[in-house]
Amino acid sequence: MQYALLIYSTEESTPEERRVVEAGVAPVLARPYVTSWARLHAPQTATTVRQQQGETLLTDGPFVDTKEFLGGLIVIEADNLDVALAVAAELQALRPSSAIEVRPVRDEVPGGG
Amino acid sequence: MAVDGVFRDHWGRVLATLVGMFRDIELAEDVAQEAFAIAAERWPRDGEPANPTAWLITTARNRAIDQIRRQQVLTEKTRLIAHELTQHLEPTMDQPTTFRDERLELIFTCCHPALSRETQVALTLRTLGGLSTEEIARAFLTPFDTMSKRLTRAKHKIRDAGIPFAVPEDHELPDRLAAVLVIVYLVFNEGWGDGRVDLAAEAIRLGWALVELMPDESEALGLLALMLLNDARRDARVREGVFVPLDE
Repeated sequence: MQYALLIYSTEESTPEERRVVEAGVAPVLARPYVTSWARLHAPQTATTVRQQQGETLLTDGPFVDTKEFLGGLIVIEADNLDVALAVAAELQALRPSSAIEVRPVRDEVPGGG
Repeated sequence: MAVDGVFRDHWGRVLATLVGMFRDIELAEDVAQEAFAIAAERWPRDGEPANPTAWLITTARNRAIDQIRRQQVLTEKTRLIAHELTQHLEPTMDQPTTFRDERLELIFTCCHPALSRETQVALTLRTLGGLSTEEIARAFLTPFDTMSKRLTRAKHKIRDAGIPFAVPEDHELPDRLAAVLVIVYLVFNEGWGDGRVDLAAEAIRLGWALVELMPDESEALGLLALMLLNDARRDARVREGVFVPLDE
C-alpha cells in the first residue's frame, strides 16, 4: 500500500531547527520505499484558483490560511499502517513541534471504479 | 441483529477467522450473521453439528465466496481468496476442519491506537462480543444512527488505511496490550451495577478470552482477577443506597 505523509509546519521554526530537520530528512528520502516527495514553498507564495459564475477567479495566498500549513509531502510504500506510522514517527522525532498526518493513497484510477 | 446467548460464545471466534480470510470486517459480519441465522433455523431441527464453530465458519465462508463471485468487481479479493483456498482451506460441510483462532489479531485491530477510544470500545463489543449496534448505542446512551455511522467509519478506516490484522511485534506488544486491557476495563466499568446491557459480563468474557489466548501475560490475568473480584462483590456493594466499605 501507499501512504502520503503530509508534513505540517509552523512559521516558528528557526533556521537552525530547519537545518537539523533537513539533515535528518535527507537520508530518509533516499530510502527505497520512498515513492516520491515534494517540498513546498511558503504558503504566502500560493495562488488559489476558483470558479465563479463560469469565470476563473484568482486570489493571492493559500486556500485555508492557518498558523499550521502543509510544508511538504512524502509518498511511501508500506505493508500496513503500522509501518507507515513508524516512518512518520521517525521523521516527527526530528522536529520540535507541529505534526505529520498519515493518509492512505487510493490506488484506483479516477472513474475506473 | 442480536446474536442469541447460545451463539454468543461462537461469534467472536467465527468473525475473527472470517476477517482473517477476507480482511474485510463488514463482509465478515454480513456472512457471519447469515450463517448464525441458518444455524438458528437448522440446529434445533437437525441437532447441533459436531464442531459448531467450524460449521459456522464454513457456512459463512461459502456465503462470502458466493457474494464476492456475484459481485465480480472485487477482482483483487477473488485472487486473495483463491490464494487462501489453496493455502489452508479445503473444508466441505461434512468434513469439519479446525480453523485457527484469530480473535487475538481481531482485538488488536479493533483496539489499534489509530482509532479513537470510543470507537475501539464500540468495535470490540461489536466484533468480539457480538453485541448489536442497537445494544451498543443503548449502552453508551448514543443515538443509534451515530453509533452505526461510527462503526461503519471505523470498519472503512481499518480497510482503507491498512490497519494490520496481526498481533503486534514484541517491542510494541506491552503498549498495545495495555491499550487492549484499558478497553476491556472500560467496558467493565461502564456496565458495573446498572440495568443496561450487561457490559460487565461482556468484559469478563473478553477477559477470559485474553487469558486463554495469552496465558503468559500476567497483566491480562490480573485484569481478569480484578474484574471477577469486583463482580463477586456486585450485590453486596450497596446497602440501603449506601456504599459498603470493602472491610465490612
